Amino acid sequence: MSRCGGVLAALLLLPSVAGAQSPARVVGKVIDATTGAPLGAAEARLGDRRATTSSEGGFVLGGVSPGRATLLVRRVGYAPWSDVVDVMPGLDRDITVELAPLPLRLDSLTVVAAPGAISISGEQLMARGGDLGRALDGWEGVVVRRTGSGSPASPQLRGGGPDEVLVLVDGFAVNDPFTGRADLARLSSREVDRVTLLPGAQTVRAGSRAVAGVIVVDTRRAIRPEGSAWMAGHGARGVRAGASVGELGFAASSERYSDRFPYTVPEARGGGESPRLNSGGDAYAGSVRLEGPIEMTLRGSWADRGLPGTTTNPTPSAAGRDRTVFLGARGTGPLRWSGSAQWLETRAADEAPPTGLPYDSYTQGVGGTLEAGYRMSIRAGGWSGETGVAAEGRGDRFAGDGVQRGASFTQAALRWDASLHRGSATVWTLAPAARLDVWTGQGTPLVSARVDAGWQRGRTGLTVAFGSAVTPPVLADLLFREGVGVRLNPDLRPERVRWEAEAGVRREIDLGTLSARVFYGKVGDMVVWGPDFRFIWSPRNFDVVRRGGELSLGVRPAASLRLDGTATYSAVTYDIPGGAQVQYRPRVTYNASLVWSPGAWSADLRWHRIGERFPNSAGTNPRPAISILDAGLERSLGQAFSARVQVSDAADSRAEFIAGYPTPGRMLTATLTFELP
Amino acid sequence: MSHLRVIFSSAIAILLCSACADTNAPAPEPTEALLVVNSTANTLSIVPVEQPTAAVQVQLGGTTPTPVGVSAFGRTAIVPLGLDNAVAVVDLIDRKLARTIPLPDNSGATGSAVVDDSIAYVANPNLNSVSKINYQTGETAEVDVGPYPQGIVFARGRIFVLEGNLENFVPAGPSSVSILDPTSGTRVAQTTLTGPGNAGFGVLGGDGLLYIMNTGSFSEGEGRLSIVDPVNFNEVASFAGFGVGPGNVAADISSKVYVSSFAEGVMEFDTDANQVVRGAGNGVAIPSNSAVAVDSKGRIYAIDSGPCQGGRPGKAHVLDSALEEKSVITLGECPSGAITTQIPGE
Repeated sequence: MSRCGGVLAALLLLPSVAGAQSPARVVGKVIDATTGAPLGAAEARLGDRRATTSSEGGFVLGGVSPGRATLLVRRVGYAPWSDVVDVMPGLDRDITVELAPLPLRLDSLTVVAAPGAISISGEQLMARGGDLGRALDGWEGVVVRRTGSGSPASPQLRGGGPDEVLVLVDGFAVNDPFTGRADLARLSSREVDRVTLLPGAQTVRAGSRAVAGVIVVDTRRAIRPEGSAWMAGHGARGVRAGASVGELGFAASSERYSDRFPYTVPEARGGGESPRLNSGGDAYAGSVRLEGPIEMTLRGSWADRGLPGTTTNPTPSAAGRDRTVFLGARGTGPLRWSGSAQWLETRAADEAPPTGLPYDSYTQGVGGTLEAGYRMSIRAGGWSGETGVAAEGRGDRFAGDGVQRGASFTQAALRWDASLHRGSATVWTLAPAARLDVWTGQGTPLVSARVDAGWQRGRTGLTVAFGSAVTPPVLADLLFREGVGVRLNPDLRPERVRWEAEAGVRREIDLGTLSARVFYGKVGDMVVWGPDFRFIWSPRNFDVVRRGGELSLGVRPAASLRLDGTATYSAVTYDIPGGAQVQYRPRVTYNASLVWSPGAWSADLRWHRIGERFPNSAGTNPRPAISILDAGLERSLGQAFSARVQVSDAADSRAEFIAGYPTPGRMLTATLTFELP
Repeated sequence: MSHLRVIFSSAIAILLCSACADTNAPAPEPTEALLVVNSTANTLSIVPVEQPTAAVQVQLGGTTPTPVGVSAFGRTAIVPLGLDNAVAVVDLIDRKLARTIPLPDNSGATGSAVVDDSIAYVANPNLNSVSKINYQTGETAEVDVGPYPQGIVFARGRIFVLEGNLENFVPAGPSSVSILDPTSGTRVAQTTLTGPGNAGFGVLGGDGLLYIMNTGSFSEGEGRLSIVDPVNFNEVASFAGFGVGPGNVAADISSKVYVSSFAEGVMEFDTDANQVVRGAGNGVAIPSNSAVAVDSKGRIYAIDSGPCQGGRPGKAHVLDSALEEKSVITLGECPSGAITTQIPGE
């Protein structure tokens, strides 16, 4: 009887067991808590399920295991929301999430993100380009400087140099500690969950190098096994893969660069067309990330590539080598801390250069950072939010024949910041911050400060900001070894944004979003390399004025169609009467893109124009404006696969951002991608 | 009948007079101009010496140019473009870049001299050669010369190639001069100069002799002026005392040779007295003095390169024959090579 009873009980329980195994869905909508406006580009997570809201605020999380689980919703500019939801077997769970606009913290960076922060989702990035260098080029005024097929892709903002933009990936700076430049080409768009842009002087909150802005990259978590392989013209090809196992996330990639692509020979060299030799190479990269109370990141890269020289003095024998390993860890909570260590090695050699003697220059360096801070909630006079203090330290040491003997650098900083808000129908935000820096060779501590304020009512938001910034010269400017044609500048001073003011407005319209920003500031002692009358090059300081604005419009006239456009103007001129635009800083850029996704097919078109750049500080002999047109077609192949064909630089402009360094022109790329459902 | 004859004769006379008037009309006055190469701006300043406010800058184009010198003949100026391995040909009347002529790979062209209305010679320091170019057609031909040719002077019907004898930008020994027949390009003679090497600048003095500056090491105070007989092709004298890094030289129509120096300012040599009038430590204090030129009225243009960065233009300090500053002319960024020339009237 007891055995029969057991069987009966098992039979009675069977439907519920079967039901427990039926996947359910969570269907939701995310709206602004103050205005009721739908919020696009918000992220909803439930366990390992993840979705991004449409412009109407909707999201669907499919394949959810029944039971109780925590739904987490977050969006830039809003306080994260979470709640426990009950999911019934085989049923849809409908939910509406109201997000409250707030100053918020993006990784290690506290910013007033509502409504001035600018972000782009990983999905949009993938339609723009396979790596972040291509995907971000042209977006919201970002100009990515490339000098060849495998050269570093360093972003520029608001007329700043490539070493004046700080790039944070999961809270850690990825700028090369020696050159100060970040290489966005090393980051696959598929690894990225979201990119947030904070233009302007941001060193107070973000740290050194953020003189022209910060690019904050959040990578994807809980990655299903996925990968892609691609082939392109001129021998370029690559593979990459990523996956998560529990708290561990992995990604790895291998790439071969284009070589022997045709370029237009300058008239001064006889004109016509010639193959660009010695421009290929191989690069490998890998990363491991551990999530949890203590997040850890391990990244490494290995690259060997040709250094083809300029088109006027090409060299078939020069080669470069880069190796780097990075380990970072951080803890969150009221007591926040982070630390990182990095090893890097570079080598450049040419046994038969077109001018001068053969060379073989080698540099090796180690560096580390430490940061600790405490944050707490505050409430006073109707304002609420949080405040915190932090201390930062950094040390670098280099050796080799490319740097001075005993080259080392240390830096320490203290930081205070707060982020406050008040109101409900009308939300006011205020975020003051101050910073004290001291470093090797800088006797007097340097103070910088910034305050951001915001106002939002209904679909309209306004921001204003005023502040200063300071950053030491990059170590490559301070510590290089003198040689033929290059001289140290022992009087080189830190770069300072003495003051900068900016204002912005953002308006949600029926079909999309319209935003505009303007800025004006004085930058003291900008470091610019240039030759003297004997063409001996040195880094020197110059006072410049920067001013301009950005105008963006994104519309979604239909669910399957998205149009975006940006126009930027950045006048960065030497602070003398009639001063010319600083060299290689385009004054204007335009970007327009279209994505049409009617079903299994998706088509995209992108046009990017970079205005004239001057190769010298005299404002003469401008390099012509560049227009680049990319087109792509993508098709889903079942549940797991998709195929994409892209034509880059369809008009075959063979863009040459820096004189003498052409990039491959028209190129066809075929990509096959899988992601396990 | 006689009336008609008178009319006919008068008409013939008027026609003849008219014809004579046309034939004998004076040619338009040439314009004397200061030509200055603005190195980092990569432009050529054309400054009418009697009307400096009418100066213009001609953009020289190119990709990675490093121009430092200029030569001219008639309406044409020749500017070697250094790392661009090419020569810019500028029309001085139309005030624009007329054409760019490619030179051999790795030429690194610096100095030049124009022979006539179609032929110029350009020094290729990285190739130990000079290029004979027809700047009307763009044709070029190479002639091997001594080590590291970096300056050229055309005088007494011969091409004098100043061979710096540098290795990795450091003097390897004394300099030399190769003398070429400008028509055939064949080497007629070669003579070695006394001194530290790095000869790169020369000028024909008012006494008919060739004055060549041996700069020596850029950091040592060993500048030395060689005097070469352009007929017998031999060095006839050598004078020390020009300090650290002397460069461009210029001569007036009588007895003065001026030497520019970034460290010393404008120095002076007297060709009649054969002596250094103003040497190292006694130069006219012109800041960043990268070049010097003299016009037909004896005015000296001491070029102040300025910082060569930050968009700050250089200047020409106009000095009288007593080396007193009379005026200042604004130039482009980083002026570094200068001559005066007569531009034919239109």
